[in-house]
Amino acid sequence: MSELLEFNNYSMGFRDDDGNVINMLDRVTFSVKEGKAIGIVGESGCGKSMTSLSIMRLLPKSAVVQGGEILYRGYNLLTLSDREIEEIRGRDISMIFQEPMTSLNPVLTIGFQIGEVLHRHHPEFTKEQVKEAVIEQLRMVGIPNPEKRFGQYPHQFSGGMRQRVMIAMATICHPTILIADEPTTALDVTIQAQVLDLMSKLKVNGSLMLITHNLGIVAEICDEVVVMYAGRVVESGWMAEIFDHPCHPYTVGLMAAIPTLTYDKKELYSIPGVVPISRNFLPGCRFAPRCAHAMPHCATELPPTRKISQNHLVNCWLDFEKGA
Amino acid sequence: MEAAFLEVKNLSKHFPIGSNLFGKKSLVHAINNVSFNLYKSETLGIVGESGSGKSTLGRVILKLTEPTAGEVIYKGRNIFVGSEAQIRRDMQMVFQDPYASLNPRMKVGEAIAEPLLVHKLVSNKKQAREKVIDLLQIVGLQPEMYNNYPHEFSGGQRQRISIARALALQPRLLICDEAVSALDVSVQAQILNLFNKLKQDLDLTYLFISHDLAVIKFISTRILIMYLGEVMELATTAELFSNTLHPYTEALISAIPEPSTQRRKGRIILEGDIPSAINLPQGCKFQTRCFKAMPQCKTIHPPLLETSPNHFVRCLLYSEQKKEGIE
Repeated sequence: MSELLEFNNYSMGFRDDDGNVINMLDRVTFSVKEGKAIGIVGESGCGKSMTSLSIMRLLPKSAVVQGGEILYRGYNLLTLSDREIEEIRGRDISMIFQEPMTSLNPVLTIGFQIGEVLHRHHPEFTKEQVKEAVIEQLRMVGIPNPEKRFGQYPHQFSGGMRQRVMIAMATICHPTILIADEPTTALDVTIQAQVLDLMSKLKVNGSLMLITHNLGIVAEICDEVVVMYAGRVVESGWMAEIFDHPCHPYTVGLMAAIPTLTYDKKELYSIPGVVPISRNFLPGCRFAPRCAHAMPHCATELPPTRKISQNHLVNCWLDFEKGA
Repeated sequence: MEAAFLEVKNLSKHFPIGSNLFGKKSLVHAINNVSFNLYKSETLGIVGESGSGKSTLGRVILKLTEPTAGEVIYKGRNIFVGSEAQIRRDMQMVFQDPYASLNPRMKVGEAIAEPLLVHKLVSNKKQAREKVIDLLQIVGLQPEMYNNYPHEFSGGQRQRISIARALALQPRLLICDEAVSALDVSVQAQILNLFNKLKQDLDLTYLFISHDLAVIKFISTRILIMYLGEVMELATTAELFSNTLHPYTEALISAIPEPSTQRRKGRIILEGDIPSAINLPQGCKFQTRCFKAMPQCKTIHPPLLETSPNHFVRCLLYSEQKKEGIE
């Protein structure tokens, strides 16, 4: 299986008012494989959104790349010129954001906004061809009456329909990688189910990188998973292996903390303490202060990467038995 | 069953909005004819999607907004008639957003002390301070935090402060409106456990409003399912999950993605969007999206029926089985 997108020891941080760079993402390493769906999970502030914005080179001005590379088909996205990255953005790699209300322009028609993407990457298309393609795309994402909807404005769409529009816009150029950052967080559960159903149908056409805090959604559509904590990858590998046998104490805690419909829990496991902010990140394992298994050297020395199996990596000082 | 702690009878709340071209006012039917009993020491979970009226229901019960019709009976008296001092003391609310519900310029200790002083439960500031320090410890915060400002706290800690403030008057009922929705999972678990602990220690009754059925299932003893301002199903937690009656409840349960590798079968995906509360569908409110809809659902508004003891459902599928509706 070929790797489409590779993160190699990618680090980035933010420059503060005094000009010091405070590290956020630290040596992030994982890869997105062709035709697979990968879930990036973690709580707020773990750097999952920064990971996706780094791929698109949409980081805020204060962000500083500190090292490593992000390879797309062998090209380092970090060193491409603005022109080259613009060619890739929207055509090869595209993105769906959390908030469908704010990511559409309220004064332009839906048809124009979707068509714009196609026109940008295929200037040879005539107006009629673009319109035809947009209507076809709207139909594919399940918007009823696409001919009429083509000329309507965002306020005439409900939240779920707007998210479908965003999906139509992101997929009109048939990207090889679709990045979805919390695509269903703003939606009601029954509408979320519709959107997830659509996304798993679209998944067959390319790779999907899903950024979410919801482990349920990952279980539903992802083949692989990357668990992040405080800017570092703590555990990664095949979804089924990690969900059935989580190894990192953080992953174990996270799983136990979620109320589910299938298990009756009298008391939820809760990880003590709070997620640290980037200013207070430790040089060693960043989870150490909250970890029940922490040893003295955990806080000072970077944890090693342990291979639990061919498809399961954990960054932790603990010893894990094979398949444990 | 024991006598109700709080009786909600035929409660409705309609909000008027603008007028159309011909000067006709339209109404948002936020809640329609909602009736249920709340029993002492239970946790009643109220679940619904946006526009279901679950928050309005909580606010009306707390007398934060006047109902259009109906009554809420507490201690043998309709709370909408007469003074509210007693109601304010006995019922308190914890809101969703711990960032917006605390005054940024007030020390958290003072924020917690405020209700004590307003209700004259303490005679001086020194007494108030002692009381607040007790409260901080009850919700798992350190007494030294008395002099800190809200911005110095994390989301979970702020929610603990909101809870401490709600507990200051020693209420008997706590209404929690999406009280854990803004929190990360690891923090959410801490707060849910805190709610359960407080309930036992202080003998509280909860009305727990949330869109998250998994959270509701964890915390509630009984669950009320709302859709477009109406009660669709009401049963004990165990009964609701083992013997789900309403198609909407069924769809809601099946729509929640579970963090498990065991594939579930027969996922129900509802078609379409939630209709607007301004233009409610005729007949059953859920018929436009129901996968079990029958022709008569379009015209007949189903009554809320008690199909088995303490299991209420509003659906025509069950209306032939038993005729003793509440309506």
